[in-house]
Amino acid sequence: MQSSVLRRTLLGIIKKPSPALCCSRRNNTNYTIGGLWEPEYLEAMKSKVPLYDTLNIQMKGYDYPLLESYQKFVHTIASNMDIDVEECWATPPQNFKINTFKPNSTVVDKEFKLSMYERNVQIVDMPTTLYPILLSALSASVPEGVTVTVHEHDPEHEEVRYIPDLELKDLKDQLTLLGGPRVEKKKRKK
Amino acid sequence: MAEPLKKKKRIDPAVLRAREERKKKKIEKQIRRLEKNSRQLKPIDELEIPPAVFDTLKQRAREPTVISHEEMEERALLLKEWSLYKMKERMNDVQLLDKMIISQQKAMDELRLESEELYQEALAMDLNVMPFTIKGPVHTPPIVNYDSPDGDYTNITKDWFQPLFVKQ
Repeated sequence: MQSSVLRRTLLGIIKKPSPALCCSRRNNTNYTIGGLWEPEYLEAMKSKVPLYDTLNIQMKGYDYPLLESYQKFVHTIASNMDIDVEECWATPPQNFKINTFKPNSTVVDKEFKLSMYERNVQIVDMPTTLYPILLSALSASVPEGVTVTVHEHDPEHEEVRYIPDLELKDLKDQLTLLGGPRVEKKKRKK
Repeated sequence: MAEPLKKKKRIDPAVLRAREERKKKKIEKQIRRLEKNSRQLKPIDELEIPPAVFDTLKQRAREPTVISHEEMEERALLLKEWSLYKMKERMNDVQLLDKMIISQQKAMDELRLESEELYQEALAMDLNVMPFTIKGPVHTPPIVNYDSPDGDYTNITKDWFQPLFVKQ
């Protein structure tokens, strides 16, 4: 992602080559975008519209078969609109224990155990113009009981999926107590 | 009898630093070893086979039911009709989306001819819509003047940060 942004800013600089090079190699073009030897289709392939980096479409609901079919639907809608769907994944559900109390007392009347399931679809490089269309397609088709959130991707969202390694965490804490990792001198290769 | 207090030997600070460096090196080596083993994904409850079912899989296995020829033909025809219907539905959706995109493109082109500034504004990212939430419809509408009972919502999701067994 970073490289594409960098490339866009670099190639945006239009350079005028020196006359000696121009006459000997090119067909008398005065302008070359990027470098003298960069092919022109590279510039033509870039998007004319600003792009969103990575977006997560997060779907949450109490009914998971419905969620799964909705995830499939979202995926097909996005691919029909020529949007790059990079990844789809499921996050472990949040389990809730819900108690209802008898009126005017704290005696537990009923107890329910419900799980809030979650599915995610990750979209990369979406043009800004298509975003509202996608949103209206999603809100028109959202099934009952499902909450959809579209937000930018955070490294935290990735971390939530993995089992945290306690030993690794301990070791890293120990290292910071001792004063941070060592600064290694670069060895010169002979 | 108490001995006279010993003088604390002065350890050379270079030696001290060397000791610390060695400890750090050991810890770093362990970190690198742990990081090499790729992390495990958390198991997803709804996609796992419950262990009780897994144990009784053999008992649960059944012979496939025998379907008559007519029944199979009926089912095949029904499937064809259904797939045709769904295909038409999908084509409708796709065409609708295409129409929306085309008309948006036309509008953008016209806008560009009108004013370049407004065009650039239209292209820019809208932060109001960036984190966007859509709530799905509910099965039954909310009951008017409903007296909801008191209760508690407790999150009992498994907390992976707490170790299951505390090391003695």
